[in-house]
Amino acid sequence: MSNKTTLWAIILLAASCQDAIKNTERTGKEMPENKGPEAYVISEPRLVTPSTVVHGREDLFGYWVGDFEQDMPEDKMKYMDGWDYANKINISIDSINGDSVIGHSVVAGNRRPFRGSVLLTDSVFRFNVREPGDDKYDGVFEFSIALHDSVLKGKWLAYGEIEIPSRKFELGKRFFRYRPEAELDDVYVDWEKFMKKKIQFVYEDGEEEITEDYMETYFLSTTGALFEINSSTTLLDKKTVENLSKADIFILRNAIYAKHGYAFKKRPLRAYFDNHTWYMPVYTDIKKLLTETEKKNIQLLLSYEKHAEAYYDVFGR
Amino acid sequence: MNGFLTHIRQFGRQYFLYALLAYFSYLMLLITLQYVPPDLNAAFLGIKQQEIQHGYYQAAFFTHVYTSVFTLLAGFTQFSERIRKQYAYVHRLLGKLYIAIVLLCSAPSGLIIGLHANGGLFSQIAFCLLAVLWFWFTWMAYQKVRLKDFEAHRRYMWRSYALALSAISLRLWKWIIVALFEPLPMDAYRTVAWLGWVSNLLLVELYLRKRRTAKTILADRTERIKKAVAK
Repeated sequence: MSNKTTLWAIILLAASCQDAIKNTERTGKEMPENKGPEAYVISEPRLVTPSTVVHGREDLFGYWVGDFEQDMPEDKMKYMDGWDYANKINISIDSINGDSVIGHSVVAGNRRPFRGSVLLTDSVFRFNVREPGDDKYDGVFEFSIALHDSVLKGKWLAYGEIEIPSRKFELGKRFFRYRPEAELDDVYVDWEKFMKKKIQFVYEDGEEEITEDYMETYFLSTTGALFEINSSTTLLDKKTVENLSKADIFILRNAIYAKHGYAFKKRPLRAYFDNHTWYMPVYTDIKKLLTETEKKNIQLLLSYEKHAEAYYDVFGR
Repeated sequence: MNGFLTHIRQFGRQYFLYALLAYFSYLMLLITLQYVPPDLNAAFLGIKQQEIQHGYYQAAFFTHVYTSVFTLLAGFTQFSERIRKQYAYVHRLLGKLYIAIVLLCSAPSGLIIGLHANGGLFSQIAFCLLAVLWFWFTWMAYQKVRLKDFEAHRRYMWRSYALALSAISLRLWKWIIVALFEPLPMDAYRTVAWLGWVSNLLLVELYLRKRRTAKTILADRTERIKKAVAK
């Protein structure tokens, strides 16, 4: 029973933190052109039940998280460096009033509000919601979940012509909380940053010895040191940071943001953190949520990151 | 004809070395200019934020950066036999300037920075030893020239300038090592902290030994000829 109380406390705590963020996001581009009663506003779900199974309408509120995959015929599927363009998506059901529903989605660093209808027919909640349309990547969601089920299934269709105009998803309800103790468990490879090296290859062809040059691609990647360090719970010192690779430093800094539920815009970071089960994209601005330790660590890591970026492979120190 | 070709070759080699020194001195000037006007966050100071808060470190760092680049210029004039013989006052004036900069500014400030070197005791010892030896060689060169022991003066100056050049060789080694092996940044730094100046000093010692042997042989031969003539 005390477990349940703790969970509720955490949810309430999370909700109160979210309020602080919400205000900053009301300004700027997040607001659609049309104001008045019809305007889109991003809020957070307030009363989230601890049940991941939907026994009633109240269990719908909260974050539904999973893969946002391509929904294209096999021959039209797109790939880039072996990546299938799938991103982790968070569909948040914020409030329901009668038949109308308000919510937002967070995917690929983009936080977009939606509005539409929810109908309960044949023991299935069917959603049909629309995004405002003033963003290139806006579109229409259609998803549903049966009563006493825990999987929210659906599709998304873009309004405009974009590279991947239709996607599908199967999501589960997840509770977000800040997890400073979460561990990294994957090797990061930055596919966009690489260097080419000339390799000489000697082989024998009959009696002749043939020498060929070819270029091999080396990618920037992390080392094992990454798994030994927690950049959220320990205050890092120079000694720890100065002999880390550029990629290690980069990931340790971004791990801090990831633990706060930051939705990454950069693809390599998305691909990396999406692989971590504890990670879910929730916010696009987490500056105010950082702890003192984290702020200090970010500053230190950033100074070494900048230094490595500018001076590691040049004539200089 | 043969003598003429040798002359041309020597001339070419000499000017090639001067061109190389000019190029790397220019690169060092660019590195120096990163700190003009003084900026506590510029370049290397980005990873020296704890140390740069102290006044004495600021003083040492900027003294080192602003003065050391001038010591490289000595290479253009001080090893030229022509300047030394035909324009002795230029040699003396620039020599005094080099000695003053090293003894009063560059070496002492280098020692203070060396005490705070990145990479722990291993590199701290390397940089402090470099500063102490640089001071010592320069000081000895000064003493020897006052005693008019020109051969000893020359030897100490070669050593002193070899260590001045470590500013260039350290950075060059770093560039080569990173390009070849992509080591972790501090491993690279610890390596070049030693490699940067020890390699130069070894080369100079080898050169001086060779030169000394050649001189001894020459002296012996002259001695023998003299004796033969006297007989």
